[in-house]
Amino acid sequence: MISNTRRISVSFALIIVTYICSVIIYTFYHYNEVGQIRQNWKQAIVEVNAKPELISKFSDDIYGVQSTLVMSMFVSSFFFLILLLLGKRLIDKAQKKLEVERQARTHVARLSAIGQMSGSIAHEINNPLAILSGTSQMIQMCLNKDPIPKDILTTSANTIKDSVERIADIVSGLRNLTRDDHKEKFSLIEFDSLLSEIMAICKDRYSRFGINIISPSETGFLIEGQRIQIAQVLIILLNNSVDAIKEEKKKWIKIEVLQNKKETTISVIDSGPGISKDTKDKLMTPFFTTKKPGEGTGVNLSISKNIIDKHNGKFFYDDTSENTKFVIQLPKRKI
Amino acid sequence: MSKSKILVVDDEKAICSFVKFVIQEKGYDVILAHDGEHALEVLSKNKDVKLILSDVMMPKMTGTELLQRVQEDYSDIKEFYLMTGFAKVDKEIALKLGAKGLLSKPLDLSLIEEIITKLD
Repeated sequence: MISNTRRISVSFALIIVTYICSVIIYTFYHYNEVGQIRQNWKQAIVEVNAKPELISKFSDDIYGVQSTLVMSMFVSSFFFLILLLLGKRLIDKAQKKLEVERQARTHVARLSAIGQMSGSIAHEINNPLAILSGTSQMIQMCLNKDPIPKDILTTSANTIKDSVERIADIVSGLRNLTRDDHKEKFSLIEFDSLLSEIMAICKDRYSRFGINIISPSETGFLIEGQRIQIAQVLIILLNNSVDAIKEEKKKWIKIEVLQNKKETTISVIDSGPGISKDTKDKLMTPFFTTKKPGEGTGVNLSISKNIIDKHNGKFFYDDTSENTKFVIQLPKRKI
Repeated sequence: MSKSKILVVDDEKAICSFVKFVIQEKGYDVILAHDGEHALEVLSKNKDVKLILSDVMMPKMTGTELLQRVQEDYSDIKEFYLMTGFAKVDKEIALKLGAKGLLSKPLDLSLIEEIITKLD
């Protein structure tokens, strides 16, 4: 969007400069021509012995034409400039409106991706809560015993600590992934921490459907981009994979990440058999969905593509893989 | 007279551990399983299990699926309770399938004590 605005501004500037230059050249060309006519008239009038007052009047008249010509050049340039500025302002306004709408759509899609997992997130939080509640009841029972079983209390303290950390991870993951931060700057992102945030809120959905997740650990890779937006693309791909394979016999999702000097390639592969050619051609089309009514909006993949395009990266379905595979390629240098 | 065995099935080990504590306090033997398949394996080797407390949302097999399998293959097991948090479980269906009741998570350990007390 930013590069488009820049392109439009440069085009406007070029049009204005070209127009003013042509008006100046045209005016000066005709200014000289009128000047020449003025001289010729003067000469002719002198030759026919006209009165000096008449000569002076003709000369002034023609000089007036010359001045009018220059004035009209400035006036027309001025009005043209104003018209161009007004036009640009209108285009800017329309573009701003479009951008705001696009950001709103992206945010809604992100919330809907998180919303798809809301039941799982509730369960994911309720489990550590159940552990905290049960452990505290167990501690009360222990305190009534004589002697107090210290080993159980020590284990319980560790269990409480782990459960609190688990809830904190989920809350922090949710906060980071749902923030409406469309002006989020490009920054260096630790891929491992991004993935663990996503896993904290998605894990339960996989275990509920018995899906085996194979993900890289401790890659140490740094990627450049907008953290929330990239997380959103990954959540969309993971959710799509879960929906596609949850009823299948073989259920696995594999996340692969590779990095070279130029780019980072993140692939999300699932045990599905791939996508038919017909479907593949329409995949990135907004509102196209193969899900049942009410289960999918059909905007997620097109939004994902937009996000990765904004990162000057590539987002595509890899039809050379025997399983269903989506690939995100992000350039290492900042845009 | 030896008391009956109780099987606790939950993929959350911490939940298993405090439920086990309550049951042992009541003097019963506890066997733990962390998924449905593991539970069936345990049942095939322990014919004297009288009570099963099972989570609903677990990998490999849900608690409701385990309940069905238990009803088909181990009809002599007296009681089966489902422990559920946010999992969508239709109470009527669960009872129809043979569950004795539903325990909601976070668990009230005194309820588990009551169930155990009534067991023998």
